[in-house]
Amino acid sequence: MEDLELIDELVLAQQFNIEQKKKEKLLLKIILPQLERNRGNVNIDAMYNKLGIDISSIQTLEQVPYIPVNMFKCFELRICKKEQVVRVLQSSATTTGIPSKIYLDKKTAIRQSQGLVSTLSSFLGSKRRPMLIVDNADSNKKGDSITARGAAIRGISTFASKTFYVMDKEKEELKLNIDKLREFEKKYKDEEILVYGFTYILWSKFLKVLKQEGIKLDIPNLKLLHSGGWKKLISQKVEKKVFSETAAQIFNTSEANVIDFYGMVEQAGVVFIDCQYGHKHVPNFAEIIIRDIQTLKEVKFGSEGLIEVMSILGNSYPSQAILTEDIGEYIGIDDCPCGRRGKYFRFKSRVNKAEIRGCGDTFAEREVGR
Amino acid sequence: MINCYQLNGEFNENGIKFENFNEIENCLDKGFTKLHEFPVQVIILIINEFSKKIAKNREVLMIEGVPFLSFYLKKMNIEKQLKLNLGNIEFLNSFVQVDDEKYIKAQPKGIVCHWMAGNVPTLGIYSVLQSILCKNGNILRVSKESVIAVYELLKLLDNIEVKYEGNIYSSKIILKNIALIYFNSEDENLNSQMSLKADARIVWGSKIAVDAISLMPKKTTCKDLIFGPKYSFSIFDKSAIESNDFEEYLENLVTDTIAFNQKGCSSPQVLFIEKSKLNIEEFAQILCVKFEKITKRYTNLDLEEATVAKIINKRGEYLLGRSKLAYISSGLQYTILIDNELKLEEAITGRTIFIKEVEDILDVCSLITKNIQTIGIASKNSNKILEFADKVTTLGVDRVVKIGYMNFYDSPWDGCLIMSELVRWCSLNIKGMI
Repeated sequence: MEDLELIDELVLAQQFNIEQKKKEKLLLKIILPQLERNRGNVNIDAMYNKLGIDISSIQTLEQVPYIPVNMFKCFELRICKKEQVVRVLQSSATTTGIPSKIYLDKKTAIRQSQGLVSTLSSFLGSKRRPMLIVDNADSNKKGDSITARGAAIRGISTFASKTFYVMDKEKEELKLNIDKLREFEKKYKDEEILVYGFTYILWSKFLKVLKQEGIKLDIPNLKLLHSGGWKKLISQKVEKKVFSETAAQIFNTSEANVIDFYGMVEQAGVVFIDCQYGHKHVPNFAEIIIRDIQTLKEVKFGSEGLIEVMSILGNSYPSQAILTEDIGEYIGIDDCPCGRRGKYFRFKSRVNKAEIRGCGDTFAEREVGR
Repeated sequence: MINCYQLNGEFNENGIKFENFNEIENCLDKGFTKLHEFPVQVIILIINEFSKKIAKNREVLMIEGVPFLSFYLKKMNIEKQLKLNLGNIEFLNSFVQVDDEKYIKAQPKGIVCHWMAGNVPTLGIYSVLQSILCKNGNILRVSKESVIAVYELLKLLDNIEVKYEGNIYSSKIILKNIALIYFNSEDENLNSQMSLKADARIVWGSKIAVDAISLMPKKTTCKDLIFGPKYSFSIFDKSAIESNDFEEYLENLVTDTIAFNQKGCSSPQVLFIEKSKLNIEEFAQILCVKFEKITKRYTNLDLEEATVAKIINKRGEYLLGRSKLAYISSGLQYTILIDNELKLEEAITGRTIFIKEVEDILDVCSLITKNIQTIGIASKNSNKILEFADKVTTLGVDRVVKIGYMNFYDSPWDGCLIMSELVRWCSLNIKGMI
């Protein structure tokens, strides 16, 4: 049986304050019964059986069987009954053209919102403030299905006293509405405000446009949160530093107010925000394991590997251990100067999908005809 | 910019920079005449000494594929290969009478330009030495990943002297006919310049690479040898599975799978097994034991991130898929994936093998295309092997070899007797004239 009280305690209470050893014990206590429940899904049951998983003998989080993140594109990994699904989260389907589908029941959706709020509170405080959303309101339309962008907007809006969408949609293209932006600036320039946007949209449709037009804003008391879409920016040779500098210049604020956070639609509710020392911290209800790309064992401090994100939030899908295609550097445990406890790491990059191509590369070229 | 690591018999580990191929061509032209004067027996003797030096050099022997290279370059084997390719090695030295006052000589093509793929570093040596045996000058463009390995190997070709019919010959002349270079594969200008220097172009690589080079301008007299993308697989028949040698065959399969990180065109990607008293799961379990045993000797996996991602995703697909099976190591040491779909699978590489059961080994004939290069076979039935080989080679396969030998370079390769293509067959016909 799941320890619902313990889950609530870990999700709702203050974050980043449990020492690693204790945290691992608490998480295991919750995760092991969740794994038993996962067996209700035929595919996951098949996987556990093939791997010879004996859940009762799992003693560390590292031993928890993980699901590669792309599998949410290939299988219906739903733990709850169909009629219990209240929303389906969908990824942006950038590389393969097939989106991940994450089935949320009410319990999971609530826990995800709670988890996000708990985490963000540690960085933003609990005060609600006007929020400028660098997107179009359509991204957060009510319905059965929601995109990663919509989920992020919805989550962060919890910290908003009012929301303002600043992008218009012209034939599926996002276009900045300068008048709306100026109006927002005029009204809230002296207040503490929040700005949120998908990193790629912020850069290509907002910051770049303002820079080209020579428009500068004066909203110094902001916190600009952005996430997702780095892959496209890296291909355009835009580095994090350049992004933050440009954003700070345009808004007339300090670079420290530009905050990048790492998260994914498959682990909605779990976000990793940079502390003032540039480290990403793991909330109490989640965990990360950076796995060596050859041995798949957890790497030592200072080493890089694939980021596995673990979470206790999922009641309707297997969120317990998801192996991402992102590379992170494992920095330390419990001793970040910012005072936050638990593991901390740095996001490095997406997995480099470019391979050395040689004479054995037939299928990649789809050249198999006679 | 061209980075030249060996030119005119001189090595430079940082590479000398050239903007074009003029200097390289000049040096090769100078070396060309002297090499032409070498009896081919001298080249064979020098290569034989080179082979001995490789065999004694522990560091170089650590490079994947080098122990076999050393074996391949032995005098006896080279003579055998030349005979197979040309019929008579004397064609390389003089006009040989083939009919009544009709003579034939195999003259060098001139400058042979080699574009090497990055997946098998030793391939550059095979390619260039076959061309040298035909007395050609060579521009050997290797990939960035292979520069060091090819450089270290070529260095061992330096300072060799052999005695033949009372004369002393130096390996320097051979080196003067090889320019070892690297430049960015996307540099169209340099690719084009190199292509225009070629009397023969040898291109090893992916479809993108070979297509790009093939489209480059060239001399009208230029001969192309294109070794493009190929796919290989293995097959075990019932007689092999039920024989006493079964476990040895499995070990050989593992060796074939591990070599060159399974990125060679001759690396097996799928294993078809004929129905036998051993079911597919038992088969896979024994194969796991063999992988566990052999991978202990090859601990350095060195997988690229992209390969790792592909393996992890395929593992996920087969673990979560209800009609599929997966036998995997805790790390990425090996991955065995089983399903019952009769098809070839996209090469995942990095020690990933798909196993599929067939009623009869001939069932795989429906999968054969001209893209299939090698089939590694395990069977105890020679008549069956001959029948199988005849059928699959008719359909497009180039090589059928015993399991464990899939990645051993051999002649013919990709359906081609390379050395016979690297000479100009010249004739002298003076019947009744004198």
